[in-house]
Amino acid sequence: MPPARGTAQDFAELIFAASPIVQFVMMLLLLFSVISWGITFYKWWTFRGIEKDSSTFIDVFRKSAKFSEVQAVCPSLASSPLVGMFQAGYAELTAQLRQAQPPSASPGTPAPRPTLKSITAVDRALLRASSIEVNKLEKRVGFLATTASITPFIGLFGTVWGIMTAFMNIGQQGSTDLAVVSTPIAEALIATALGLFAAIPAVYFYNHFTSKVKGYASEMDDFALEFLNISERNFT
Amino acid sequence: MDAVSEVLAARTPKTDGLSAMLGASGIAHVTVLVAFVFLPSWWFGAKNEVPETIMQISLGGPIGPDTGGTEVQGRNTIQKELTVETKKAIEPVRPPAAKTPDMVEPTKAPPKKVTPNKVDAKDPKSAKPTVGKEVQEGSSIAKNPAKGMGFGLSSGGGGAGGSLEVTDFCCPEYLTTMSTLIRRNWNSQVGAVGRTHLRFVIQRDGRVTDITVEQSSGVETMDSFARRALLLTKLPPLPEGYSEPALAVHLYFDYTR
Repeated sequence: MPPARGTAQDFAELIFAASPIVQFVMMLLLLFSVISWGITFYKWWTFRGIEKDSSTFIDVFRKSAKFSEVQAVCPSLASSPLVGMFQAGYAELTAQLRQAQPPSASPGTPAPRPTLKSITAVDRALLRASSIEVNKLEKRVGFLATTASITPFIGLFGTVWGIMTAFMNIGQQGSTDLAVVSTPIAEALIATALGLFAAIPAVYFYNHFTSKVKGYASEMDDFALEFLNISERNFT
Repeated sequence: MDAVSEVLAARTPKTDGLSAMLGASGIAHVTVLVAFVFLPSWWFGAKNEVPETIMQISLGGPIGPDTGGTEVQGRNTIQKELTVETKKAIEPVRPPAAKTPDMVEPTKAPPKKVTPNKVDAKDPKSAKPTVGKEVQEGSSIAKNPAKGMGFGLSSGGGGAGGSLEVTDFCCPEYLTTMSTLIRRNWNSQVGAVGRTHLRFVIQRDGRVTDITVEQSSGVETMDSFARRALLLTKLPPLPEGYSEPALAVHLYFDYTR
């Protein structure tokens, strides 16, 4: 009875017996896989924190009567992009109000109602913050798309190279015995398998994360409008 | 630097937790790889099972003496050499020697024309007999007396016939017993003609398992009778000489009205 093929030892042997180019391709694919999974773990972790912080922040924001109260809780919810937007808008707001404040207000008279010089400036500040926050959210997600699109090709290259050398060996040995043909081809096919192994999760998580970022972006737009409305109502 | 820019600058962190996650990912990959190398091979679908021994036997067939599906070597006439008998040379029949004629007056009659005895070349009497071994036709080729795998015999009648496909099944006696036992439980009289092809596996201890209808006769009764025969049969354990854990058998049930 011949020993069964396809044992685990065989896989290890196949990988170590492959030609240097194929081994290099395998290492490259493994590197891509490690990095893309690292990014996936990282994004998953940060997005979980963001969701928690954002919902808490929105609660606090809607319940508070003053922006200064909201500003006080911001450091503890720092991971939410809404916090960044709020802080930018609040900074712009206070800067404008401080300029509008007459410096020689006598302590006896009640302070006049502060007014904004320009609501569009606040809008611009929010826009800046929003673009920075979206950039932060999208950072490194692109690598997943890169992995998804190029690793199958890298794997294919390894396979083509491996099969090429396999056929060259067949030509040199002059034998088409299945034992001569099949082992190098199996080696070569491992490269394609690794490419797909790296690419498939990357495709999934790229789509997952981009749709999440889209959701956050619309949440941020919504928040910006809400912030502008409140500012306009209270400071003009 | 204005207040908004300060805030925004503060929001962009210098470092993030990516490197830690990359490390975690690397460790996870190494773990998966190591697991992949050391996992048992059946995880990858590799089968270490030895191929099943497959045997094909058919029940039913023409009525005749029950030989149980085994072939007895001595039953068939086989080709054999005939011994050459050295025969005595055949003496030609000669007329008795002529008597000396009496002294008679010669007649005037013309002398009788004597035709020489013409010898036909094809006359066996004249040809030199062939000397050598004569081959007499038998119904079967001479066989090696070693026990062969030819288990089959549809001509055996009683209905058992079949052939053993494997080349290493030791014990035809077991198969004889098996088909006898099965036939004992089999009602072949269903009043219709058909063939049911069943496959089953005999375990080491003689249990019959995995009965599947490989090819139905098209008639439910025939299939169920065949199946029932197998279910009722208690087989002896597989013979010691057979080393595999189980024996797969293809059995044809031929219903001949």
